[in-house]
Amino acid sequence: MAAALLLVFAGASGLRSEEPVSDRLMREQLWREVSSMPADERPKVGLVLSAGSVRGLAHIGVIQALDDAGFPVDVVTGTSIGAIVGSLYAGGMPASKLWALNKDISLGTNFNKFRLLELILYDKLLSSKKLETWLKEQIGDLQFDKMPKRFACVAMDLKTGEQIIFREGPVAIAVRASMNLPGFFEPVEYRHRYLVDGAVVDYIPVDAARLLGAEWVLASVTEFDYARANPTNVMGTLLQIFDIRGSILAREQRKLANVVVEPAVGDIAIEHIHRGPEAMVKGVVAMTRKLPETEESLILHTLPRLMKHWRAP
Amino acid sequence: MNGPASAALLALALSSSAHAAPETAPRPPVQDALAGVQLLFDQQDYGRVVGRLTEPEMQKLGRQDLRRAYDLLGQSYQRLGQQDRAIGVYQLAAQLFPKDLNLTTHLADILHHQELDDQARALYESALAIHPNNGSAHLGIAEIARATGLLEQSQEHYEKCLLEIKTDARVWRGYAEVLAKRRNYSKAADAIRKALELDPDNAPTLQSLAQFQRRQGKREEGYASLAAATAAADASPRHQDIRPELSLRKASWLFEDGRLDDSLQEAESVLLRFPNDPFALWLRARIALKRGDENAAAADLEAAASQSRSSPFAAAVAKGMLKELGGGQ
Repeated sequence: MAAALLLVFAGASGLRSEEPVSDRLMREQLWREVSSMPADERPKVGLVLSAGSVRGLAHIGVIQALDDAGFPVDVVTGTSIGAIVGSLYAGGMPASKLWALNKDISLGTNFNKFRLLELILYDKLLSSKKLETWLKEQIGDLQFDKMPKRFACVAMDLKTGEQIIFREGPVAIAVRASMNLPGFFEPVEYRHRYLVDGAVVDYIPVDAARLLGAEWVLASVTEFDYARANPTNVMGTLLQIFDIRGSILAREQRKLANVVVEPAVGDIAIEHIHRGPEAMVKGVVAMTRKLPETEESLILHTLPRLMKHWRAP
Repeated sequence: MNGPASAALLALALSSSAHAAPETAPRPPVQDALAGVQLLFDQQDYGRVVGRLTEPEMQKLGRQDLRRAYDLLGQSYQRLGQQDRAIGVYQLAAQLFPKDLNLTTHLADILHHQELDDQARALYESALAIHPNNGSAHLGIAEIARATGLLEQSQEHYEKCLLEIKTDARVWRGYAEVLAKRRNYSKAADAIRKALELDPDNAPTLQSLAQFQRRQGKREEGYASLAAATAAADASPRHQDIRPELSLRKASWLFEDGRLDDSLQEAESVLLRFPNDPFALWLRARIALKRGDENAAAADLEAAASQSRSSPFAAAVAKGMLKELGGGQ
């Protein structure tokens, strides 16, 4: 962890730039007013966690920074690794415990070198069943409608190419379907569907958050910087195609979010499981830097409702 | 040393001379070798320190004196405002004496103050590898972690630092800030009181205490500390710049507490000196709105909205409110 921490502080200096006193005081005062509003009076806040394999562990850092700042979150959606992290968070797991789970999450995805060898030698798709079991161990065999925060995740039906947004029924199998990387894991058969990773159709599921009623959305995006990668094997090339497809989809989805936070994890590839802690730290750094802008955006979005309280009866 | 090339040459020369010198060779006493330079440094005559510590002079020094000479040279450059040269000197020194905690942490401190935190942190970590209890290294990491949002880690390093450095108000202030960010206001207030014991009548520290007290619901104590901060700022030229902020904060609190007349009076005291202050204008507009005077509110909001260059967020809020009032674009 210490070695990872050494690498991630470049550019953190932006945090210390002076801002006008009036802006700071106004944000402080209005943030107190917005964050103390009853949840049913302020805009419903959505947190959207993108796909992104190991890079997506940065979402944990984003959640940690939001939690430290007391930032309210009502709705969580995620795709692939975003679905795993999002389900744990929406299922009631505190940020501090999420932070400690990074190693388990990597194991939970079953994506290690031995399993890949099995895939290559026997041409046999891997099972992602272990993730479902692991998830149940973490948050129980929850149903969507029993989660402490509203949650949805996205998968794709391999037979129809449809985007499937899960928001009811059991959580664990839906999350498993959402992170079921095609070509590596065998499709999940569920509700007469043949389900694979949702990143192929919905890399940043802002639409799913809106569907759950989110009126204001913060999207945590962990895209791969594929322009810098030169894959030299079949798997690397295939994965890069997924990433390129995801990035094209992300362009449209990110426009639908009110604020986008992008941890600097673009150089972390799917096989860099050892860089998980570094990704988490980068999530904290990115969200901490973005926090004032994020608060300001939500304040401005809430202004019409605040004005109703502020005007004399 | 006039540039990187000469600095590198000096490094090579010093490096070879330092390493070639047998450890047991007789050396003049430390005080004698650098006494004159130390005196100049103590007299804050940093230009002459730099002038005295030339390449040939430094080559004459033994290892222990050379460490000290580097430190004096680096600090002199630093105090002359030549940070890049100071960094160069400390980088050379840290290469020559990689296990010298003082040089390593000093280099890390300069890099940290130049906001080169990735490099600074690596040096602090290496200092801790040599001496796990080094207070300066713990402080450096605590500050970097605080700035980057790694609050739990920052708190841990502050606590380790405070085992070694107990009498520096700056450390207690930083520790208090982390605790407050973690919303532990009670402990933050305790820490900031320690800072005040060491540096009484410090207006920013008193303001922090006031904020922590208010966040604990201790309103009257908060007002009292804010008044003390105001008095301290009035009495101290170095803290004059936070005086308007103290008045604005008080006006804001009075408004939150429903003391509209008092809040208005405080906001107007700021507007007398700074007629376009967007926060004071905005507060006055909020008071006018509460009292049903939407025209007066709109006038103040128009003025606040025009400050988008100096206070973009305050101006955006004012514009948003005007739109709701039906008077904005």
